[in-house]
Amino acid sequence: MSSRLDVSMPQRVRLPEPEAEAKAATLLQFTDELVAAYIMDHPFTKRLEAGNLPMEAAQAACLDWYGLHRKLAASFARLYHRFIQVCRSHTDIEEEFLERISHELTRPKAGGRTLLLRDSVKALGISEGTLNNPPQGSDLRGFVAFFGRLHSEGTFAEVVAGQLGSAFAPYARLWHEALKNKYGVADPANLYWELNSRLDQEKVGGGALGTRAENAYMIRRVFEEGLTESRYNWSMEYSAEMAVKLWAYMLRGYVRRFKL
Amino acid sequence: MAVSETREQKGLNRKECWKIVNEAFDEALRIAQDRLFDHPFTRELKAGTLPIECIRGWLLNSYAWALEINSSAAYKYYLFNDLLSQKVDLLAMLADKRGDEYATPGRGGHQRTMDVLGKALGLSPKEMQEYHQLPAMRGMLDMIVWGNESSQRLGMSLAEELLGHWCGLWFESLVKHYGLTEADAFYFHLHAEADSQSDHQSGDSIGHEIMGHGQSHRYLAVRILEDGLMEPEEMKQTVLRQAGLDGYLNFLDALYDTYHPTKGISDVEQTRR
Repeated sequence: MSSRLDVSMPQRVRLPEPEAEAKAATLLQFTDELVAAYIMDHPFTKRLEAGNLPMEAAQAACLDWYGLHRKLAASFARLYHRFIQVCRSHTDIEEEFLERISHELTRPKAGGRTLLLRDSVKALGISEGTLNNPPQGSDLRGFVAFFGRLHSEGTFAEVVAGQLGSAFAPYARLWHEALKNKYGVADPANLYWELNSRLDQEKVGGGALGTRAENAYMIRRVFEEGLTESRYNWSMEYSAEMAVKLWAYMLRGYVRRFKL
Repeated sequence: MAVSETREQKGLNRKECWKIVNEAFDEALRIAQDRLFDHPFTRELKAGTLPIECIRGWLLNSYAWALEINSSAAYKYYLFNDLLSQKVDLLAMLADKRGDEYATPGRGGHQRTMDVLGKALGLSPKEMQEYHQLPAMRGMLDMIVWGNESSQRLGMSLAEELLGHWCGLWFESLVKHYGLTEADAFYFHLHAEADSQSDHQSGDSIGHEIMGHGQSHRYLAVRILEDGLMEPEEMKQTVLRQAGLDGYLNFLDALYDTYHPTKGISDVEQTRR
């Protein structure tokens, strides 16, 4: 039945696939460049790469990343409900969410990447008690809260833009190498870092962080379907920028705390 | 009544709770004041040597900070309403606070006084509304707002009382050193009065005198202890942890580093040292 009231919203601007794909590539490139400048070139990361990061700093950073990933994975699982109206009209997006949530929570074992990372942290000598009740500095809490709020209040476009995915892969590779060579952590306790080090290469299976292909697909669909709405003082770029910069502030915290 | 039963079970009467809370808040406030008032940003503000760019930067970032925290506080009132309905004194107090914040000194509440301050500093409401906050502010703000929604301590915090005292310094300095009138800087006077004093004169908008915003957190802490929602030591540690002010001092560092015309450093550099 057609409405008698003329209260329809303006038409969404939908871009053709090649243009949408180009925009997705640009946004992913933007995040990659931020990670290169703010994370990969950070003094903390350089010490990790050089293999001379003190054990206490590695323990603290790995424990913090567990605190982040655990919350991020749980928060990501909420997105299906949060964006159910997008999902009901775009079943391809629904399937993408369902697959990624399922991957995140169940692969390669029940509890998914969260429990893999728990094994990594324990292999670095962190006790079960500390893992269950970790100290949480304000940098970590700010980073976690950013994603919590983004997933609760952000628009579809903002959420999709804030996924770190493939940009995280080079950093995960350094951790994988450092744990193996410097700290003697072998698989399966090193599997979290190994899996995430392939996020920029694999097509599927990225879970909450997303592979490059998965994130590119979601961003492309944002532009194709005109789902680009943002909050008043927000933008897709701002989502990506804050995700990386708050991560960098966390690294700065280790530089200060461990006098790196 | 359920509340008094719980109080008897825990064995802490109100007088004992007030003693614990006042000792914890007083100690934490001393520590936090030392850290905040000794920060270069505050020292230069007090001396009138802080560049105006840093002051504008503070306001640009704090505009949405106030907006989001104040709207989040009302959300918290909704979120914990079932619990509050069993503790009607808290329900009344938090309702008063929201009403005051939203309607004093006039329509639009405390937030509109920021527009007046912005105008005096050369910033339009649109500039402040559209500003993209610095990461240090974004992280701190999200931590507070997210905490409001996920913590069981009903938003109990040292911050409002502390910031009340800090606002007094802002008010004096802006009038004395930066050429603002008392009316221009009323935002700070309002908060100095509302946040740091025991009682707060709301005027016609509320129709009755309400508890000071800072004092309300002490009262909240007392009631949390009385009802056994926290142990005294946990309360003390929570307030002392807040006194560290890590998030807020990081924000002041970032303001200084971003906006200072001669001592500023790049965005990347800020995340490294």
